[in-house]
Amino acid sequence: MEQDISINLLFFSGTAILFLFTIFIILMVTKQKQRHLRIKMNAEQAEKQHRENLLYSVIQATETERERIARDLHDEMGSILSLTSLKLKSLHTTKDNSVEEVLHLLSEAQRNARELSNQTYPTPLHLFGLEHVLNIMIERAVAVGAPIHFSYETGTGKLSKELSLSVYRIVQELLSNSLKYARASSINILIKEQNGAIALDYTDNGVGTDLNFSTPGFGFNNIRSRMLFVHGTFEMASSAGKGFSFRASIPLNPEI
Amino acid sequence: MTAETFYSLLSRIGDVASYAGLAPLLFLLFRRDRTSPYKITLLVILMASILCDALSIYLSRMSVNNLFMTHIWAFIELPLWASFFIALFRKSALIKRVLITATVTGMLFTLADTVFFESILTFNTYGRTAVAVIIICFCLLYFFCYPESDNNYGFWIAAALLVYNGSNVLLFIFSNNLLKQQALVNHVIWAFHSLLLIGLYTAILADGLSWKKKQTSPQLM
Repeated sequence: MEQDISINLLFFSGTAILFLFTIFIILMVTKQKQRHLRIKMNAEQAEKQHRENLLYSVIQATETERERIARDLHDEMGSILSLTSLKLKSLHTTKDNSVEEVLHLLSEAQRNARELSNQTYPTPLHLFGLEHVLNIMIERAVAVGAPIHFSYETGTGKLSKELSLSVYRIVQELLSNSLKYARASSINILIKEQNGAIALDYTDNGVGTDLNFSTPGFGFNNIRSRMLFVHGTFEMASSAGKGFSFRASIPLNPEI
Repeated sequence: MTAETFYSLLSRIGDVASYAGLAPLLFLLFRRDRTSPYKITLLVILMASILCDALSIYLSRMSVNNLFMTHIWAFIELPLWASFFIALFRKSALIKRVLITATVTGMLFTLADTVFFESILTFNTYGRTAVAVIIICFCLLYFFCYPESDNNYGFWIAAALLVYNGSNVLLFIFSNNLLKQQALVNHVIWAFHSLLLIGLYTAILADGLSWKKKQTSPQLM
């Protein structure tokens, strides 16, 4: 009888120990999994930060280079062409057709250099702001026959250089798509300040495309990079024959 | 509480455990997703388990010795759970080979135990214990790989399986000896076993509930 009791005791305590031990193993594995997940998340965060920093550097370097090229085109090339033009005008006394032709070509070259300079970098952005440079871009687009309704409703505060330039590049990309590929006959652009962010609302009535089946091209990647650069969010909607719409929100003071 | 009420309560737990597998079985059967080896294996395990339990209860009611069912169950349990783990580790050829080798060895051992060592009318203490130990090894292998995996498929099942087999190893070893002990001791031990079995079925249900709709073929590696 006593032996039975001790066997039972041994059996029950052994089972209890094994039960607790298996629970302990499961708890340890769960803890290990959590640790592993935390490490993985930290690594992903660091990787994301690294990619963002890289993107930031690339965009910054590209814009600096573009600014330099635009300035050189405008200042150096422009002044050389102007001087050559003036010299030629002072030299030609007779009605010589060939000199006239050269003068005409020079004036054409001056115009092209100015155009190229503006396209490469919107130099007036620093002086006159985003609204001004967008107006210039839209005037040019309207001149080629695209009716554009543009509305700009931001506060009086000056937008940062990065933000202004990004919004400018995004609108430039969208406008270029609407005119080149979508054959849009009406475009609406609305930029306004909303809850501490710049809201960009862009729509066109072009041919549209099914976004689920189209491969993102250089333009789309450019927009995505710019949005990532300014920590913004965006959504696009389009379907064949039903135009295209793009909505973005870019924080004025992103918390990096 | 009288001794009889207590006995009746303990045997109720056993009855609940015998049919507790119906809940996950019905849930998996009526779940609207594509079938995968993982889901099929779980369905087969549940069906086999419920069938064996139902048959054991029927034989017991007919006053027929049903202990040979433990021999049958030990022989089929190992390949069933091995298929479950193979479904989880289907991309790792090495682990699959290890699982298959262990399963074949375990099956041969249980067969040898039934044929040569233990009577079919008693508990198969050697075979059942060997199966439990092999399944514990499968669970430990799963837990070894689990922290590195990207999903939680099979976690609750492996955990419940480890607790069930780990805690019942002593019961499987001494099941024949325990028959000679007091009725109360037997009732308590088998009620504990039933509770762990209910836990295992609940874990299968919990695992099924955690499946994402798009993931039709879960895997660990």
